[in-house]
Amino acid sequence: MSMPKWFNPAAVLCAVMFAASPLLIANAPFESTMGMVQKISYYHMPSAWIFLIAAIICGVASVRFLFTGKARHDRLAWASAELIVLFGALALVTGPLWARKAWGTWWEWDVRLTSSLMGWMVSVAYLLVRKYGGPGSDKLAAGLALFGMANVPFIYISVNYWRTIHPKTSVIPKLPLDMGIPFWFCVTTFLLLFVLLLRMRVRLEEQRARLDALHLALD
Amino acid sequence: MRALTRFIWHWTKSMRLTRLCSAVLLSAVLGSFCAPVVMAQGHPANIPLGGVAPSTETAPSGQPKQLDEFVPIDQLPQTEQIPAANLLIPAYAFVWVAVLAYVISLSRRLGAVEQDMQRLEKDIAPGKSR
Repeated sequence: MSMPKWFNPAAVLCAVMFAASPLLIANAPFESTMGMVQKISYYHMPSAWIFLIAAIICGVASVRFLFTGKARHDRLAWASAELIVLFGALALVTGPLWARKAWGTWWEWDVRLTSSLMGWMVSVAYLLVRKYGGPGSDKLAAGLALFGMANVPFIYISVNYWRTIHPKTSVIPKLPLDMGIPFWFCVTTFLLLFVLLLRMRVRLEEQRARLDALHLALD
Repeated sequence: MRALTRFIWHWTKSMRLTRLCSAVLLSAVLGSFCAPVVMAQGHPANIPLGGVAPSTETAPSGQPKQLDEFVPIDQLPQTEQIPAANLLIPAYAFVWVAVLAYVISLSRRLGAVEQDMQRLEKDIAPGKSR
């Protein structure tokens, strides 16, 4: 079983888009109150969105695995969990670098930041359970993924309901065109990167499953 | 006391009070025009090019105000660029390095598993025994 035909052209396209993104971001206007440091948002927000999308995929795949017991759902959940950790780390590192200048502090224990950190830690726990949990860890980890998914709407709406200095979700629909073009370009790039990495990571699990089957055949 | 009251009554009717009231009113009108201009000098959105802009507006508690939209400006104050770049460059560098490291790690893991598979497939191919 090889990678699908679309994989290589999509990988080249993603690399080109990643290389072009700094040019678009550099030409975007500065934000009035935050200035240059706001340009971190062009990578921070797509990373944070992918972090949430990956948590939803992981949760849905885990539910399906718990109900059907099919290994392919478990493989998808495991692959997504690893990407939650990656994209969550990107969001959680770029966010404080932005906040240091914009808010005057690296970190605020407000609802958005704390719930995002919790969501990220749940996915780290998922990976630790899968690695060191032994037999039955797949179902235990699937339970953890449900908590991770339940946290997603809470993370998203938190800025609109609780007192925080984090920008509201309304900044996205209100983006002017010259900020919106580089932003949606970066979102598309990150989404493409996520799809490619997810496909690679799922393939790794598929190949591991085949390898296990081959070992069993030899025994 | 009666003399004082009489004095005040006459004074209020005099032209001096009219002039004083006019002066107060004129000051109030001028003040209402000037106050926003004076306050705007400290507003980050109105800092002239080359001036020092505070990072954000501040709420009464001392924390920056929560934003609900991004407002673009044409040019950035020169003094603002150096400290922001110190944070901007590490942010982009971290994203690039982390993604690259993950891609390399994933490729290595995938390569190792596929090598093992090829070796095992050869081992269990027909005509070969362990």
